[in-house]
Amino acid sequence: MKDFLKPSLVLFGTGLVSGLLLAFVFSAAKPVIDKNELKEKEAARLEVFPSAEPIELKEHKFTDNHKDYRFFAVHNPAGILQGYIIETESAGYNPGILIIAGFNKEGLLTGAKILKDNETPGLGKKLHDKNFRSQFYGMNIKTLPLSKAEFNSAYNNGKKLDAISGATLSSLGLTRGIRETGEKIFELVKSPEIKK
Amino acid sequence: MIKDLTRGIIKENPTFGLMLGLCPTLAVTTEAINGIGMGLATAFVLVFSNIFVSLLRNIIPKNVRIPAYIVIIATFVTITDLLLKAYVPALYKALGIFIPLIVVNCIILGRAEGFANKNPVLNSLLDAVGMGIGFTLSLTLLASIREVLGAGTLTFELLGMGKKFFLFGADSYIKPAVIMILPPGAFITIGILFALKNYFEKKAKTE
Repeated sequence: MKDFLKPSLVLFGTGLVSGLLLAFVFSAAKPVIDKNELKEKEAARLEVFPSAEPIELKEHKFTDNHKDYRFFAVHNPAGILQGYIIETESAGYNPGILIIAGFNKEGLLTGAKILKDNETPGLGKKLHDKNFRSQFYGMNIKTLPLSKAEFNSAYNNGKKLDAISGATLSSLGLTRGIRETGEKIFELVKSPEIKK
Repeated sequence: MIKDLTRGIIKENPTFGLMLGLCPTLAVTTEAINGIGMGLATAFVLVFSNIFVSLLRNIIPKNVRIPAYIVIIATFVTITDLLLKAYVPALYKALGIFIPLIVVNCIILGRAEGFANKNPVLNSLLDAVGMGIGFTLSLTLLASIREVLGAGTLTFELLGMGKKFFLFGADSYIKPAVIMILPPGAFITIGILFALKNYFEKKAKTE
């Protein structure tokens, strides 16, 4: 009995103390974490839509084919539509690349930023490299590559596009995510439910 | 006592001496800074797990010691993860994926089982610090070799501080071999380093 009781009690005690400690740390950290994430998203939105005049964002949400979409219509102070900022999740080598991207009303990409990803360090993580993402800026989102073959034959302003070497899937995760969601949003804003 | 500190750095270096923790070693050593980051995060958890395992060494019964150690280690890893995410988000971003990996790093369990549960707190603390330094050094060495050969760069940049070195210009005729930052490169590099270590050790013994 005794050699059964003591181990059980010790394990129970270890688990209890650890659980309480974690619950305490979690409840202290969670609000701060949420606030950080919100702030980061706000900052990213301004970064992907550079503009000389202050911009106003109007949030839209819709569901299509069981997928949730969230985007912002960008207006200038006079209330004229300037473009859109999208928030979308895409898959590279691993699922879960969270992208914030902006494009003007003609569909030309103004900026893109990766907020979260599960890509391989040293390879897919280079999505965070600004030089990689900026090669797409100014491209029409409808011409962003969707496949490896398209990547190899695509140009932006006469400059050949370069996928991250060793991480074509991660590179495609970015371009495909922006293009698919962006096209969806252009389709949607034509419908009467959302004007402007 | 000093020996507890220095042992982990060269003679019983976790990677090259004890051959522990090879899994995260091979996975993250693609950029020099990743080696440093992973090494330091591991050292941090190692220090706390060694202290607590040593403190509780007379309380935890032998037959349930492994689950108890795992709970202690996982607790500290999760705390580290949450605190970094909340209060130092920039550092968390840089180290993010390495932190959960620490739970499965066998150096930590290895030191709990092999040292901390038989020795007093101070010795265990020194052992953890030494092992942490040794692990950081070997990861940095491995990562530097792989990054130079595989990407032609050397990154010591974190939180916007430090520097990234570009070793060959873009139009240089020397092109980096991408295989070195892919998984095979890790095995090739670590194999060669093991071979060199064995060669020099054998030579030192025969002389």
